Amino acid sequence: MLSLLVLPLLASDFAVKAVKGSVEVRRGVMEEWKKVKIGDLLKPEDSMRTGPGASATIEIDKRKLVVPELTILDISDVRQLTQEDFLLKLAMENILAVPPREKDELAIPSATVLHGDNKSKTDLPVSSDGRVGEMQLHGARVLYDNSYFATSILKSKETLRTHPEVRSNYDARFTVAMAFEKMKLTKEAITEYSLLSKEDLPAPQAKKVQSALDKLKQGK
Amino acid sequence: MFPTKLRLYNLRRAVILLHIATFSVFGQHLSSVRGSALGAFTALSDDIGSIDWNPAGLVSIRDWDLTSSIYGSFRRDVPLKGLSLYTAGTAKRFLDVHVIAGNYSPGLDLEFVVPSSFQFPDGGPKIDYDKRITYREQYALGYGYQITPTVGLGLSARFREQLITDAQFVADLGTTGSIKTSTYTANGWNIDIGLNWKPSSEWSFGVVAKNLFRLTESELPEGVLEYGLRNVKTLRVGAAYQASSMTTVAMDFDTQAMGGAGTEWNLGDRWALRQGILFGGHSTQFVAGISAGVGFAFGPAKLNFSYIHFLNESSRSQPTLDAFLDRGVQDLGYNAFTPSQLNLSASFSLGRTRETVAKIEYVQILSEVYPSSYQVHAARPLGKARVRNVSAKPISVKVSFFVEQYMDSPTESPRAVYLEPNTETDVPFYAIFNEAIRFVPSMVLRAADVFVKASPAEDYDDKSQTRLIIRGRNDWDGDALTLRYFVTSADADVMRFTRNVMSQYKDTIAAVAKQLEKFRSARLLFNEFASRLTYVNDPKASKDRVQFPTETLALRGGDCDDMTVCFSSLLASIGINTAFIDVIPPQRLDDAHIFMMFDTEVPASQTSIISDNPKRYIIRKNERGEETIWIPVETTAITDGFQKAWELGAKEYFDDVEVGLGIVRGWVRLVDVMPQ
Repeated sequence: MLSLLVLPLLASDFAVKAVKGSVEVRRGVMEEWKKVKIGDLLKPEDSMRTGPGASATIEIDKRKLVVPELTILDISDVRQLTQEDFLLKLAMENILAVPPREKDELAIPSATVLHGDNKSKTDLPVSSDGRVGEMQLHGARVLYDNSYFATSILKSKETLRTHPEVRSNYDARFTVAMAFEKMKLTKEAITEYSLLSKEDLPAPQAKKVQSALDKLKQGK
Repeated sequence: MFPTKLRLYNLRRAVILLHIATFSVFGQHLSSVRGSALGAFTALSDDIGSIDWNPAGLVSIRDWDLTSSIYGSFRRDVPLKGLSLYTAGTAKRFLDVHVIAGNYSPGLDLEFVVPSSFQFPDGGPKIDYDKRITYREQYALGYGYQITPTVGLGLSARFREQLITDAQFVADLGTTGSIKTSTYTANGWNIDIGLNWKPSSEWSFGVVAKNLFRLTESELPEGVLEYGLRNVKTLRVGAAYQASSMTTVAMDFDTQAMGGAGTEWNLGDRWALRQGILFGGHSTQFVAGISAGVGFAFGPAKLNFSYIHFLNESSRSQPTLDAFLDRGVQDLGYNAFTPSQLNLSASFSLGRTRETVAKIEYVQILSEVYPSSYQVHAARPLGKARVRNVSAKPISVKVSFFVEQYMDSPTESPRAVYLEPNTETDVPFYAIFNEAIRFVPSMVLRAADVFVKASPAEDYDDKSQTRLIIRGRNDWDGDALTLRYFVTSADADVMRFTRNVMSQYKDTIAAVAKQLEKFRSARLLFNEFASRLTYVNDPKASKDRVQFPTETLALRGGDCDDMTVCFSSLLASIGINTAFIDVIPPQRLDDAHIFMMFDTEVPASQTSIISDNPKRYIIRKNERGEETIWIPVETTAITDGFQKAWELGAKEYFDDVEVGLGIVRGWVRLVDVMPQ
C-alpha cells in the first residue's frame, strides 16, 4: 500500500551521495538508528540524523540536498505540497482533535467510566532530550533553505508544539514567518510576526521582526 | 276542466284574497341556519346547506357530516305549533377530493290556500271550499370536487314538486251543488353549479348558477302554468373577507336583485355572533329584513340559532292574487312570502372531526435500518415527508413515523416546521425503535406509517404508508461511523474478559508508572486477546457483516472489522478511549481497510516515555484541549502480538495520513468510538 500511495508524491527514493561523521538513518517506524553509508537508498518513511560535526548529502532526480550537523530530517518532508494540502495539514491539529460529543447524537454507553484517581501511584519522572527538538528545528531550516517552505512550516510548528523546551527558539519562529511570506500567505505571515513581536526578543531580532511586519503591512 | 278560460276567470273572480296558511313556516335558505343569520353565505358555505347555497362549499366537509335543523315561526295570526324537523342531511368525503351529500327537507313545503265560497241565492246556504297551491323541495343531492387546495367545484340537484288542487263548486238547479276537485302536478330536478375560490386566508369568493338545467318529469298544463314555480336561471355571487381573527364580513348578490350582507364575530373557539341584512327579493322595500344569530361549537357538535325579521310582514302573509302572480315563487326558502322566523340547527361531524390543513405529497426513506445502530435514528432523520399546507392559513406541522412491532409509539419530529398557505416543504422524521429490533436475524421488509399533523392538533391531518427495510442484526452499512455501534463495552462477556485479564495481571499493572497505566493495560489486553482469538480473512463472508464482540469472543475469531470492534469494546470496558481509522483509498476501493487507535492519556510533552520515533504515535487534542498520545494498532496482526500490531498500525497511519495526506484529502477518516 505504501508504495502505491507514495509514488505520486515522491518520485523515487533518495540516494545518499556523501557522508561526513556520524550520520544515521531510522527506517520507518523502527526505534533504532543505524549508520548510513554512501549509496544507501532512503525511503519516504525514513528519517536521517546527523551528529556533531557531521553532514550528509542526499540526491533525488539530480537535485542535491545537504543535511548539516545536529539535524533530524524526515525524508517524507522533502516534497512540495499544494497550498490547499498545506493549509489543511496546518489545520491537522484541529482535524485530529477528538470531536465534542454531538448534542443530538446518542452516546454509546460506556461500561466503565473511571471516576476518581489512583492516589497510590505516581508519575514516572520524564527526562526529555532537548537536543531532539533542536535537531528537528534544524531539519525544518534545511527544508526552508531548499525551498520546501510548506513542510518546513509544518515541521517547525509540530516541533514547537511537542517539544516545550524549544518554544523560546525565536529563530525557528522567525523562519516560519518567513516561509509564510515566501508562500505569499501574507495574513499568516503577519500573524506569526505579530506573535513574535510580543515576545521579549533581543533588540536586533525585535528590529528585524518589526521591519518585516511593517513591510508586510505596507504591501497589504 | 281547469284549463279552460271560463273556469280560470271564475277562479280569479272567486279569489278575493290569497291567504297564506302555512302548515310550516319557511325561512331564507334554511338549509343553513348560519347562513340565514348572516344573510350572505355563498362564499362561506361549508356544510350540507351548501347543496342549496353553493354546492362548491361541500368540499369543506372533511369526512362524515350529519346535520339536522328544526324550525319554529313567530306569526301573529298563526299560533306556534312547536318545533318541527325542517331538514336532515348527511355528507361524506371520499378519495380525498370528492364529497357527496344528500338532504331530506320535509320542512321545505310551501302551500298557498285560496279560500273560496259559494252563496246560494235567496238566503241559501254558503258553501266554503279551498283551492291549494303546494310547492315542495324535499330531496336534494350534492357533489363537491376539490380542484385545487383553494378551488372547489360543486353540483347539486333539487327535486321540485308542484301540486295545484282546484276545487270547483258545481250548482245543480240553484238549490244543491257539489265540490269537484281537480289536481295538477309537475315534477323536475333543478340543477345548480357552483364554484368557490379561497385565494388567501382573508378572502373567499363564491359563485353559483341556480336552475342552470332542469330535468322535468312532468309539467303543469297550459292553464295553470302561471301558478307554477319560477325556474329562472339566476347567477349569485358572494364574497367574504376575514378582517381579523374575530371578524368576518360577507355579501351576496344575484341577478334577481336579491342579496344580503352580514358579519360574524367569533368569540373564542366556541361562540359566534352573527348579524345580517336582507335586501331585494321583490319586497316592497329595498331592505327586506334583518337577521341575527348565535353559534356554539363543542368538539364535533355545532348548534346554530338564527332569527329573521321581515319589515313588510303584512305583504308577506296576506298577499293579493295579483301580487302572488306578479312576484311568483322561485326559491322555496327565500321568497316574497317568507315570514319572520326563528331557526335552530344541530350538526355533527363524525369520523374526521376537523379540517385537514396539511397533506403528505410523498415520503422518502433515506436509509435502511441497521439494528446495530438503531439508536441513531432518534437523532438522525430516517426519512423525509414532503408536506403541503392545503389550508388558507399559515400552519406549523410535525411529522411522525411508526412501524409496528419495532416501535412502541410513533416518533414525532422534535421541531415544528412553519408553512405558508399553499406551500410545501420537506419535513424530516425520526424513529425511536424498541429493543425488539436488535434481534432481527436477517433482513425484513415492513410497512411503516408516516403521519403529518398541524400543531397543536390532537389528530393527524394526513397519513401515508411507506416501506421500510430492516436489516439483520449483524448487517453493517459499511460506514465506519456506524461500526462504532457494534462496540458493546457493557456486554457481560466483554466485561468478564477484561476483568479476568486485569485480575490476572494486577501485579504487573500495579508496578507500572501512573501515566503508562492505560498504555500497559491495553498492551496486556491485546496480548491476551491475541492468545485467545484468531484473525480470519474471509472477505466474502464478512462483507457488510460484523460480529458483535460477544460473538467474536465466543467464536474465538473474526475478520478485520470484527477484531477491531471487539478490541475497541475491550478497551472501552476499562475506560480507554478508542477511534477507528477508516481508510478508503481513492480508485482502490478493494484496499479499503479499518484499523484502530487508542488513547494512552500520556501527555504530548512526554512522548519519550512511549517512543522516540514520532511516527509511532499520534498526538490528538481531547475535549479539554489537552494533547495526549494515541497508539495505532492493526488488530489483524493479532498473532504477532502487540508490538507488531503497533508497528503495523503506525506504519499504515504514517503512509496513509502523513505521506498520503489521506485525512486532508478525505479518504482517511477518524471515527471516535467513545469521546469523553
